[in-house]
Amino acid sequence: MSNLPTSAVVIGASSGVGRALARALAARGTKLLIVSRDRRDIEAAAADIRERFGCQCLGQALDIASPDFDARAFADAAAAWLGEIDAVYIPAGSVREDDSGPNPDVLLPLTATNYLGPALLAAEFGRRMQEKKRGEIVLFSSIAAGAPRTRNAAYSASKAALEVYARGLRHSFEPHGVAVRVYALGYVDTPLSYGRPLLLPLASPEEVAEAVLRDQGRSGVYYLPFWWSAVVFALQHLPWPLYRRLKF
Amino acid sequence: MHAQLNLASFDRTERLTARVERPEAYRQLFEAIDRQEYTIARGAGLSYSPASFDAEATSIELTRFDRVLGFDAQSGDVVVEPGVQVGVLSAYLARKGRHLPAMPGYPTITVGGCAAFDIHGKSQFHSGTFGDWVRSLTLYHRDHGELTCSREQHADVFELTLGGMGLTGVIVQLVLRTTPLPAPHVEVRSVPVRNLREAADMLQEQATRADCLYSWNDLNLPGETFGKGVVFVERFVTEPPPPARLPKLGLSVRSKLPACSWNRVSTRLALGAFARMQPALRIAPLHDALFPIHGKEYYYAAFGPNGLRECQLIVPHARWSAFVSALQALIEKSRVPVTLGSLKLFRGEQSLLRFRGAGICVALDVPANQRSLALFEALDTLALEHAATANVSKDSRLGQHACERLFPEYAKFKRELARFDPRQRCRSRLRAITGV
Repeated sequence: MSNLPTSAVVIGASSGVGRALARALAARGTKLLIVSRDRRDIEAAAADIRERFGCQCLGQALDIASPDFDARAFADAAAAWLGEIDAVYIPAGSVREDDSGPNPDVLLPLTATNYLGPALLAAEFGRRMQEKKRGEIVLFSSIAAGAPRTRNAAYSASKAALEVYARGLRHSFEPHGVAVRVYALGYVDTPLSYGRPLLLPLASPEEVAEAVLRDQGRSGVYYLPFWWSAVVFALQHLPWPLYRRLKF
Repeated sequence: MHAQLNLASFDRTERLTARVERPEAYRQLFEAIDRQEYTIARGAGLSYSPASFDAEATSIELTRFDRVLGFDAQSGDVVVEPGVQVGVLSAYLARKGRHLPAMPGYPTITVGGCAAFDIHGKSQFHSGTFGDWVRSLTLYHRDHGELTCSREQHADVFELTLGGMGLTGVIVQLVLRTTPLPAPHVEVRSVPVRNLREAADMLQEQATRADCLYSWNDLNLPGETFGKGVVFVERFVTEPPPPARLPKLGLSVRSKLPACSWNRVSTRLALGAFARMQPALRIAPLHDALFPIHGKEYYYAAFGPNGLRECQLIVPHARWSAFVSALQALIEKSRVPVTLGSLKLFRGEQSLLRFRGAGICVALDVPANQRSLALFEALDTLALEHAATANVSKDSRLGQHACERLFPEYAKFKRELARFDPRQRCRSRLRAITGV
């Protein structure tokens, strides 16, 4: 494990894994730029981090799914606040209740939130880190990307796209000292899973955040919790006549 | 996203399946409230009474609104969201050299719940109740939107909200007053007392010297020993505690035991052992002194699936002696094991449905069963005879008829609440039980 980041950007930091990550980093004294869509939420999150952890933290409202989103301008603003950026964490994502079966209405918004926005940020920050020959980009996929089904089909596809793109970025950046890491998250106790009947146990956002920080400096694709790799492997190798009968 | 959850009051005597939403963003919170016909705020879900759920209403869980939003070093005011746990707040304030004296006994209770029930700590006799430390609060109500209220602004809503059982809307923000923390540690002196009257005398005697004050009493003993126990006299001190600490037990409060383990024999044995375990003097870390129940969850677990009943009454000083005699007779007649007896000293005036007033606060825990139900119904009559005030947040059983008789301002509370919220947007099982 390498040294923990002294400065970091967390995208999607007002709830779920993003919030837990921002708090875990703040507890370690990392200077933070935290981002989420709603101004009131991100200002509250930043104030809490400043007050409770005594670290420097700036909150910025930003919609990475917006057609107007300018990753380059945002990266410039981040550098102006943080100086050299050691790590960028992008757990932002969304699901939709109407993402079930062939619903074309959900494709564009889910792709923008779960793939395009994170991919633009990863490419822009990675490019800058490459010049400095250090840093890491951490992205968040889902077990759904490995075992798509009727429900959340567009979500699964957007996460799969992000995972594939991250593998490409790793190939590009790793030789230049920039780590690219992707986590395929299993069930996590976030708004995305709340109230859903689940067959397997939930991980808390705090557990995920601690695991992410333990992996500091590593590149690759990881399942969190790790045992989900076996579940996804089994699902991927299930004969289709059986797979199509699954209700999950 | 919402869930259908099986919820229970902390005393486990009230249970039902309720619809629950757990927003994490303000937009989600306001949309959740606006979308539902009826809602009720829910914090840690640790209220003894069924205050945070109802069959008709959606519970809005606020545990994700747990942020400290600001601190004013000049005034000492702290701005918090309702889901902040009192243990977290206490630790944060201690780092700032500040303190909020009206604290409940368990660290995961949320500040929203403290305001909704105007809770008291162990220093009510000089620090008042939690409401006395609320400078202002912001509510969200489906028909009123966001409403900031204080003693100067929308004072009627402010008064109705403190101790209003969450029925005026969802608290989204609070500004709390604090006081300088006198010292980082607490000296706990255990003073043995021979009976309940002596305990009350000791509380009054120590009131000018102590920062916190409460007693533990065995209410199962006969004759002149009724209420034999210990008065805990606590004072802030700078001397640090010894480094070695007893490990905390981690048993779940939600008992998995198949039956209640408290009976007359086990209660007597446990209370006797507890009395013998109390050192005459110890120095405790602030957290341990503020939250004496933390680490003693096994006590609640031992009540088993049927749970417990708790009764808290403030008995006026002038009626105390006669009340004790009558209480002893009732308990002896009932043969119900009283697993906890405790006293605190109270000051102030009772209003609305708040647990306030001047006198001796007596608390009793008993296993929940038919015999204890009969005992508690007899206690209602006793309370009425002695002009005592009951605690709605502690006693799930306290119905409309009892509340009408025990709270002189019951009708006023109901009327004011109906004027603010004629559609009864905020509903809980507790509201139905108390009939407000």
